[in-house]
Amino acid sequence: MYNVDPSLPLASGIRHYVDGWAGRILIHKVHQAGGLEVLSLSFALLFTCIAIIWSRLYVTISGRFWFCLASIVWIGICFQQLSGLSTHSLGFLCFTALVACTVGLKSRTPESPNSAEPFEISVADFSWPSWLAALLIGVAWVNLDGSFLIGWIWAAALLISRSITLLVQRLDTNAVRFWADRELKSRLLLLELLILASICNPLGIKIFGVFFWWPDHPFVASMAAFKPIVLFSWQGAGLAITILAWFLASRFANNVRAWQLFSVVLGILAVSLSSSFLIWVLPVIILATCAMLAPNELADSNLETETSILTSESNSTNQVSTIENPTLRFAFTLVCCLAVWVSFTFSPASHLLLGGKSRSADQILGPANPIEAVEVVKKNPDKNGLLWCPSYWSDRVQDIENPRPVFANANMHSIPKQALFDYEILYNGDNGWLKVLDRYRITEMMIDKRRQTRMLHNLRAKAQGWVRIHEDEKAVVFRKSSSDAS
Amino acid sequence: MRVDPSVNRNSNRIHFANRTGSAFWPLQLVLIVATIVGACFIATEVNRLPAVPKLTNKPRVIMPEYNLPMVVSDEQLQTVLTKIHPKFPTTPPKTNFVDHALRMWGTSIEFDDFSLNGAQLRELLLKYEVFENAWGANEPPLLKQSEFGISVRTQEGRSTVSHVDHLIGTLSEIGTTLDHPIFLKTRNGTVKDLHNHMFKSFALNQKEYEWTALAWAFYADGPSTWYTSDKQAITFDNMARRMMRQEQPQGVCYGQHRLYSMTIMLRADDQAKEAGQPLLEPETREMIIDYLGSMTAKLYRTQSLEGHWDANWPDTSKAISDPQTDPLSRRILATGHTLEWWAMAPAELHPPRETIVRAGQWLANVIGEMEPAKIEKNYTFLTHAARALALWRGKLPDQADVELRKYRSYQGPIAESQPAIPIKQAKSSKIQK
Repeated sequence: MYNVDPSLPLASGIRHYVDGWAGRILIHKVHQAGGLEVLSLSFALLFTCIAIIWSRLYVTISGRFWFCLASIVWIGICFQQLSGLSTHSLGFLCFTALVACTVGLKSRTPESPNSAEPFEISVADFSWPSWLAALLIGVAWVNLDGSFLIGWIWAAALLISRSITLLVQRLDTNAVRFWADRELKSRLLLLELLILASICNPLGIKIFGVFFWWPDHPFVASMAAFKPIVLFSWQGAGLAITILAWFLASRFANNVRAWQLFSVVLGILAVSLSSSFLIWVLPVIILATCAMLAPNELADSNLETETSILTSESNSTNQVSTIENPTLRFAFTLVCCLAVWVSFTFSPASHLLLGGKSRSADQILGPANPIEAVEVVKKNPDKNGLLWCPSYWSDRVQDIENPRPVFANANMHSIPKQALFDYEILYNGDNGWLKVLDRYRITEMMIDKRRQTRMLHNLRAKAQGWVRIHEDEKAVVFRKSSSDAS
Repeated sequence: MRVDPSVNRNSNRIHFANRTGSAFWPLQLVLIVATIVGACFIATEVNRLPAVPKLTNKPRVIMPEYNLPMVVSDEQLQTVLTKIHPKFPTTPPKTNFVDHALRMWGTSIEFDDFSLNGAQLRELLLKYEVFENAWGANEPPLLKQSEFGISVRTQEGRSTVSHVDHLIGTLSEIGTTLDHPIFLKTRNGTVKDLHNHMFKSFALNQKEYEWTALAWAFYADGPSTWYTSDKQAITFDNMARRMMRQEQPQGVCYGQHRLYSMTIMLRADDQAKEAGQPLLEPETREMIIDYLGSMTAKLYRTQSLEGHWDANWPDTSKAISDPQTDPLSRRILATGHTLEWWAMAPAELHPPRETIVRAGQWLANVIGEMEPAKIEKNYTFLTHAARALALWRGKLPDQADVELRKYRSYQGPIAESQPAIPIKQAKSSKIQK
């Protein structure tokens, strides 16, 4: 698992952690089984499941049915990040499952035993299946994606928030025995369980060694450097509105739990480091907001029992709502069935049943992908030489069972500095590009026509012994003639 | 009375936390302490990556193994060596020349003409005071203190060396120990400081790496792995693969330094194997032998009728990369370097004897006829060529020069038909005509 990235010979000898090995294989198998269409469908299904779980959580935690629509908010804001099935998608599924496991999916209605209490996460109430589920989620996550650390952060945040709550209580009244708190102990056990579960991977206990790699920390490096969210962007504005909604909810709520506060603080911290954390942060902030907007007509009577750390003094208007039992009516069922059928007929899966044309690869992957050029490059690869293509295309030419050596791929942080410097020379067509081609024995180049105009001009005009073997509107493929490459 | 909200919930739940009772927190304390200790240990261990390989103080000695008078006769060799004596008409002599002269002649040689002795050559490079006397106080020093040790100014003009790590390669080939002193402008150091800088500033994809590999092979104390600043593990195996990566004749000196360094790696591996610590993996060794064999095959095919090679030695149908360079200089460079690595290579990598003899004779004749001005102009290439000719007589140039001078003073002109004494009989060549 380390020291091996067969597609990246320039990184040989550089320790390398393959995160999400099982996720990669799974995606590869899905692709093998049904091609791009099935891959696209799998992604759609996966995210639909995730959205449904979050919607269910919002309804559960708030007790209001229409809160299920809150999923639309974070999906809309993070739409750019939903770019296709990846190991991160599987990691996000695990995160969703873990949150669901800790929060619980059972509906809170006025008739339910705990409905009188404001919502509180209770790990102490975990049943055997819940503990087992948490363990299985931990094991699956560590093998599916490198984001399993987020699960640890979630569990640690729950633990810390409980500690803060208890400490504040103790300062106030000295009524709660900190050390005897069952919830605190359970949350600590949950964290330990998740950490323990991470041993179940091919590296075993050595995975903990990976956390201490420095300065080549794989998890820090995979964040693609310090890239905070831009506030004046669609995502930044979305985040700001969500936080504003959280703030307003906290003003109207009777109390704010420590975990609700923590979710916002940690979320802001995460996105200020890298915008890629947004998709992990937003659903949780919305969850915290929903928890604060829960109906609390019965909560007032139990106000003294609450473990709030922040009390909104201005909250004079308790929001009272009545939750109606959903009644299944035939018309409602009919409309739902109709909606499902219409969705199905418009979905790509319908052509299996109803016939019609499949979507083209261009339609599935988007117009920026050089599909034809990739096919050309995959055919008859030069085994002695190296392929150079922009790093954002490198993964397209990869085959998990038969990796093609490329100059650079998505693991840019694994590449030595000198090679990175030379990558830039070739990308921009700067001076010395021809010598760089020789130095790395590059025998094939796939050029992005839109972004690499200078390099394209260089290859067309000045590169002796290089033959253009393919050109379309997106990419040009050049290959060094065999007599020159010998 | 305040109540923990989670206390009165479903009592039929299973509470792990309660089962441990009063032992819970002591157990946690033990666990946390163990985790912190373990984490500290792991953090230290995983990042303890040596930045310098294990080295011996005294470099290994790698000697030539063949004595073929057909390649160059005693008389021819004496003529050639005399012409390459380090008597530089230009003052101060180019540092590049001094560096190459030191590599050729070593430190123990003393000449009876106006040439610089070996010890003087070394002082000119390693003692700032001597360097300053020659170049003046305004000239930046050749050696300077760096972040990692002592660095060598390279390719920055007449007072600097021409190849990356060439000076360290020179010092290793002439047997300089790591504790040999170096005198800088402000402080003193040792050759080890040069090595520290060389290894710590090394990158596998840098333009010139041949002399780094060569110096390491000379001083290597077993096949130790070291790590660059990019945390890339460097072994003799990936160093060799790097050398074989580029096509020929790319690289400095028409790619011939790569061939020489790989030959030295093979020889160093032979010695290390005898000590039970081979430097190369068997597969890598095979790869190197195959690669060098294929280069010999190319050289065999492309040798000119006169016996020389040119800049396009791998394929004469291709254009020469530097047509502006004097053809004679190019040919001396290509032919001299070729004979040099063949002289140190295992016999199975040699071409048929005739190829070597023709090349040796061409070199000896051409150098013998060269004017002093031309000698100075081509001095660096000529040191490789003259050294190669001496190696083909089974001796280092200083040994050959001293012996030939003694012989001449004892007997007068050297007898033409002196019998050859093979140090080691050449095995059958892989390259057949």
